[in-house]
Amino acid sequence: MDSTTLRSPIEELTSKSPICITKKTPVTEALSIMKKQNIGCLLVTEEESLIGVISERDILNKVVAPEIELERYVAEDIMSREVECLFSSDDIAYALNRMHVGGFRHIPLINLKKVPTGIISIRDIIRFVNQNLSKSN
Amino acid sequence: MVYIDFEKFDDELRSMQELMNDGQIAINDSVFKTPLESLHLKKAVTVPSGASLKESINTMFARQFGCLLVVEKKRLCGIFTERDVLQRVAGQGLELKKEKIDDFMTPNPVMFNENDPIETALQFMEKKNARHLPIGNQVGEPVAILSVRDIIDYIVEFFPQEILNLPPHPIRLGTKNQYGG
Repeated sequence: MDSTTLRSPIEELTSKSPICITKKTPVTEALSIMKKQNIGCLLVTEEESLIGVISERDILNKVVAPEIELERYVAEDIMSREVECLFSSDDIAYALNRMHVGGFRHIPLINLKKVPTGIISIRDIIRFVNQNLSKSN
Repeated sequence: MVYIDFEKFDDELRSMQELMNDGQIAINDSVFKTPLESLHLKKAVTVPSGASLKESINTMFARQFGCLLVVEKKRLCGIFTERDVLQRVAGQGLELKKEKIDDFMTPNPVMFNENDPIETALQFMEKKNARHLPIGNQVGEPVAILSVRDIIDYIVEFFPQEILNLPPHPIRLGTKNQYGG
């Protein structure tokens, strides 16, 4: 792993297609999608464009003041609206930068029309580092 | 009259240039063979076995840390993470004061030693899809928690130039440059 690697495009690390929900999706449903798909972040879209993100942390911080009834909430009540996004053609260095500086575990990838094209997670980075290790072993 | 030491200036330029050259900095395997204790690990946040769910979740929120270690007589007996709160507790209509953490934690988690190489922990994290790993000291007491974030921070330490010293937004061909020009 060297500086050149960090300048490769993010799309080399991830092939996952993002899982999208609408702003009216109930939080309980979002939670069960996360559980079933084993992922920690869902993208909220409206007419295909990204309008927000729901991560496990969002649900935890905003809804689980624990006795609260989850059923009463839908995605738009708890989603983060200010979303840090990248393009899949951007450098891997930017993904690491956003994760390190912003503390994000997931970064949505979008195109010029704000349509989600993918998502990159800390898990993808860990897998990438591991692959590099086993390659050279 | 301003005197400029051009020779010194050239030296500086040259060393900056060297730093910016492609592939100058590389991290090899040995970087991930160093012991876990060389990371800036966070001290473990613990709750005693038998604690109530309410107390445990409050601790998690108060410390703003997504992972608790459940201990009994300084021995690790379980791990309880934010994911457990979401998947096992949230929306279940439980009376948190009456429930014991022991019934919701993952019992007997694998614990790594602070002398274990980083790569072993890294492989385990990928395989198990774990974000947190308990780290123990020589006598087997849980002392710290390794989080995936620590790994990112560790990589960043090696490439400050490439990762931290970036233009605020990626330069993309064919898109409008917000700074004009």
